Amino acid sequence: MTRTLGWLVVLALVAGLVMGFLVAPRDAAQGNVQRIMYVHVPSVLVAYLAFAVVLLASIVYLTTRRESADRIGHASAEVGVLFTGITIASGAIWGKPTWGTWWTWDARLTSVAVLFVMYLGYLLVRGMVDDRERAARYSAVVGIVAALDVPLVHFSVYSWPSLKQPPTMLKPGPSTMPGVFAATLLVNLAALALVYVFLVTKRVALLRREEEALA
Amino acid sequence: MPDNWSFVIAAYLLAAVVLGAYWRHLVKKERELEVHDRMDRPVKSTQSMSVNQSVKGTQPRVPGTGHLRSEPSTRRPLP
Repeated sequence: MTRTLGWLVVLALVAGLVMGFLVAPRDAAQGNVQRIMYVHVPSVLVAYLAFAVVLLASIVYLTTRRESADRIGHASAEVGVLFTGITIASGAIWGKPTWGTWWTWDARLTSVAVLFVMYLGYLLVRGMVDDRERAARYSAVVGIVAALDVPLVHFSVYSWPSLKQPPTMLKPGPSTMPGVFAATLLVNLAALALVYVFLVTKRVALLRREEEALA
Repeated sequence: MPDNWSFVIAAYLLAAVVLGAYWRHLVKKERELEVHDRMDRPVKSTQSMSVNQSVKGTQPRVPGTGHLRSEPSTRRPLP
């Protein structure tokens, strides 16, 4: 099962690269640097997905005390932090040639940085508390509170003046993007979503084995 | 607008390195758990064998505390 998923991930990543570098044309306004969007946008969407899973898993854990929910939340938070890190770094790399700066304290960038730090806090809480049940309980609370930042990140471009353009995906109304750009983004989104599923599946299995070894 | 290929390559490489490093971290953890499991198995089989043998009376019980003892070579370090 994991092996099949692994091969599917490899295929999807290759398809994403082919779409991003060979199929999608050079952007008329931004030039080739726009190709960074095929990593940046899917990464942030997968991070949203990961943190939504943490939120759900945290609620399930606090209501049912199921250890499997805690393991899923833990694994999803780890992978979500990775994707948020990729989002921030790829955004900075895109920002330098486009805006002329690596970083600016505007609403979107700052709220994403806060999101990153909050989920690092989630993982730190897990590592700091020795008692397994208490660590799971505390981190579940952090997982619920931190999820409140996700809508703040997404809608920050509407609420505060920002250098960032409004969302091109996950917005109401029809897409204004040319078809080939949208298709490339969707293929890369599917590829990174598969990477997320693969890494979370693997991590959950390892967490279960670690607990069995310690028991 | 210049092409800025170096920025594009840097962004893709960075994503690959981050995901690859996490993947390696998981593989390393998996290997550690496999080693742990392998070290755990001989201890259990040694213990069950000595219980059976002492029950049958083929091997005298170790005097002293009464606890079954594993071979030093099969003991694993504390986590």
